[in-house]
Amino acid sequence: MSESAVEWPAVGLTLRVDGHEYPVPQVWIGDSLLAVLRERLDLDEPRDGCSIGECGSCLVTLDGRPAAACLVPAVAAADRDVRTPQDAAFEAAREAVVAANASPCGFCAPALTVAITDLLRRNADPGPAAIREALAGLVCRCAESGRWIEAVARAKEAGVGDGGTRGPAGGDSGEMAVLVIEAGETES
Amino acid sequence: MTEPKFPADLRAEGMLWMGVRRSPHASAAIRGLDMRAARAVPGVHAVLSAADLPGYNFHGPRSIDQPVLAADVARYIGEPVAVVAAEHPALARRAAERVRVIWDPLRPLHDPDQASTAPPIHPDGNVLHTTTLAFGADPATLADPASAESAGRKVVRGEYVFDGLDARPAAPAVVIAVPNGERGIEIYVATVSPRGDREVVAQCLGLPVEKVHVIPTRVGGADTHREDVGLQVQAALLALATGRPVKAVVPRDAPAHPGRPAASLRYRHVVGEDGALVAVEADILLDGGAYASTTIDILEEACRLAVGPYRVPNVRVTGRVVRTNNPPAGRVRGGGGALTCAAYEAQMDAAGSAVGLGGLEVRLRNLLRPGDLMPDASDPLGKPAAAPVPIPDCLHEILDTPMPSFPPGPDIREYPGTVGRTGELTRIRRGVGVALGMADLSNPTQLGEYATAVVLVSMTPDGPAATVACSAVETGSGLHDLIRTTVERTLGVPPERVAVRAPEDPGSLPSSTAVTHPAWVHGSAVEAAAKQVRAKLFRPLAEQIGIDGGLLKVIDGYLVSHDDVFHLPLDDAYRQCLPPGRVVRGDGEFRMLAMPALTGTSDSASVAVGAVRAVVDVDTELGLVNVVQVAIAQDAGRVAVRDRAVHRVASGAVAGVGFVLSEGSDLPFGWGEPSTMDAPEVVVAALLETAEDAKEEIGPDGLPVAAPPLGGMKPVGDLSVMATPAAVLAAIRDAVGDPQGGSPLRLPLRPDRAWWVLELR
Repeated sequence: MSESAVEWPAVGLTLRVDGHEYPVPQVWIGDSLLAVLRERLDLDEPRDGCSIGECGSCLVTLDGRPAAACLVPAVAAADRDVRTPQDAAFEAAREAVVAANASPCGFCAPALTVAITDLLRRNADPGPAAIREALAGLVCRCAESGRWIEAVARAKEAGVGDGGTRGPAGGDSGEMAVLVIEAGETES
Repeated sequence: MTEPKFPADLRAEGMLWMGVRRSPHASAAIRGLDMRAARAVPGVHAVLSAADLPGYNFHGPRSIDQPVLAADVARYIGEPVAVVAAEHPALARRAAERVRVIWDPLRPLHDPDQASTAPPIHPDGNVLHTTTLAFGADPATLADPASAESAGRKVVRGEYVFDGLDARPAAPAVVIAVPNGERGIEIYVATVSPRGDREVVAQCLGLPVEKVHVIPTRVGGADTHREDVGLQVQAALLALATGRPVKAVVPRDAPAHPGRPAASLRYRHVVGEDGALVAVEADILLDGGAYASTTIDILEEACRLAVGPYRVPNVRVTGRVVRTNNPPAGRVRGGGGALTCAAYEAQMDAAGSAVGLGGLEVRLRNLLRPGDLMPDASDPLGKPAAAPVPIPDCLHEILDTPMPSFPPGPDIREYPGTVGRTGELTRIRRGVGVALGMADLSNPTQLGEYATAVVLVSMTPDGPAATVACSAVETGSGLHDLIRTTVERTLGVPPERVAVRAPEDPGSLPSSTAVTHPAWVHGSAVEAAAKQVRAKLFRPLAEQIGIDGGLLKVIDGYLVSHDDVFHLPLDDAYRQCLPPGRVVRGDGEFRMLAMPALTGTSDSASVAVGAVRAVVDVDTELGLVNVVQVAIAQDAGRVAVRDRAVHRVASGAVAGVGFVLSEGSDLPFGWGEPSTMDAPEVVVAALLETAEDAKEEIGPDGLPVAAPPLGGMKPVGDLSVMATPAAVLAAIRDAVGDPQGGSPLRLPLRPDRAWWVLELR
């Protein structure tokens, strides 16, 4: 093994992102899924707000569950189903976010669309408290949360989450935690 | 996605990443630098320090006192000392860690109270600025216990201490510098002042200004206050040294964004038996951090707004902003007024209970009226004809807002503390607080502002369309919407057919920073350009009736003359005057004078006032607070885009809740703003349009004279940031049964400092 390989261990991997397969050569083993999505695949919508799992801006889904892409090692995401906010599945929620003017500067809008879609898949009829809880992991300094609640209502009206398979349907289930950080095998 | 990109989303062929060696010491002399180990890291292309900077190593918006890279001494934890360019961010970090600095740690100065007497930590000294505003008799004599008592006056003291606050948005601070041969260097950055940045970068790099091109990208956070310009210089320096594009991303745990200064305010209010304010004395101390940045302006603003919207015959305000070994502070939303409002409103409540009238009654008895002066002896309401402040209207609006139901629940997510450490129903008390606030259009230290705009109008198959070229950068606050609306009001072109474009090199446009009043400055330049188009375009029609083109206006789909005699459907007017292929161009500029010259010259008041009511639930044992609802009514001058304005006001209220309850620059990543779980329901009860429509007065020469810009733009986003903390604080006092107020308070009242509840109870 050469000295630079010791200093800079890299692997090739294949990512499945938004339904496409991307072979990515020479990925540093320390790189996050977020870094590869953004810097190697040029997908900008998972935003990089903090790189440390604090701000929620990089929300994606991994095998259908939400995850902070900055905390998932890229190598752990290989051959799993990665969906970024650019995936068609989030289109309806995106329109709701825009219609509610829920993200004035636009930075948090992609993560918000993923969070809203995930909430409505889990809970078809969330009350205000459930909505507030589900979106609490997103840091934003320019929106007012009334607009976020309105965006959820609009997304629901547009049919987001219909046919969702996870979680109890109907009612304010109180299910928690939108930022599930997963890097390996899961139960389910 | 055709939307403009944030700087972090930009990439260039062969791009390198910047790493920064930062000071681990709050105060330390640099005895030597050894870059060899850093240069040996694979993939590293440059390692540079202050010695490699060809130009001037200092910058700053006011005082040029902040180094781009610390050369002989580091003055705060995280100050950049050396920069690295490498092929991967992790390699850049690794190389930066391997820059060896020989430190000689010094005793740091952290306490602003000691700054004036401590040995100077900077050649410019530790006192950045002092100011004294006073008129009437000295409040100290009137507050003298013997004389006060014999005259039946009460003296109310208060001390209010604010922690510093790191108000950085979710979008990180990022710069990309791209060397571009003969053209020089291109810098892509989320800035609203490309021209100002360009000059600083050119000076620091030792380049002629034409060789530097600052290109604004999309801006995150809907705020004009951004990271310091040193980051641009660092990235450009590396790009020029390596000949490759360089991306600089400030990591979340490094200071990059000047936050609100820590402050302590000491007040003494003297109030008569009848509730009339006799005197106010205030002493304001700000911790400016290691470098001056914009803290001098914050101090001036805080002192000017130290009393609030009240008439006081005797005032003495002293202010000081000092240098310490804390990270540099600067202006954030709400500015200095956000500090003083919480303090003077607590004082008004205390004064109200001291004379047995209650805080609201004392406020109303002392409301500012035409002719009353601010602490700097300026007349905030303008000409004598100006109306009194519309605070009674604002109060009616917020008090008429329906109260949220009590008790909260049964869902515990509605309780104070929400999930986790949840409040207990039997201990939850509801409190209601009201605060009045006054925001300022005119800070005496405000530099003149200048902007230019070009409006082009031509005919399309859908009707007339306009293109606006100006250097106004949209941050998410709605500036471009406002510009489109301005064109619509002037020319009748619907907003969807108005394109707002930045010119190719906006830094070359003659304009100033327009950081404090972007809507006013840019909006006015655009309005002027659109009016010129209108006058040129419809001149043939005006000539037919023998008037100047400038006297025609667009009202409700008609082109109308100043005396209302001429009345033509706008569609007809455009058909007659704008054949396909004709392009009519208008040039506009707007110059805002340095502030002292501005005060009182317009028909509109130079202040905006408002009232906020906060409803809180408090667990009186655990010190957990849930702000249930915030209702706001304010003077908004003239509202151009209502939805945007409402949102701006509402988001300001959320920021205000953060100021008193959750934020602090000691938090690890600078995010303490309320989450959706903690944010209140915000009711914008009223945005009063107090400014008359822009009047087109006719001068003696028969030509229109300049009207007040857009009929009086008020700082619509600032007032809620200022007054919400005061209202929340009053509501908390109400809930815990401390209506007297006046006890020393350290803000914010964070859950991790829950003993505040014991101090108040």
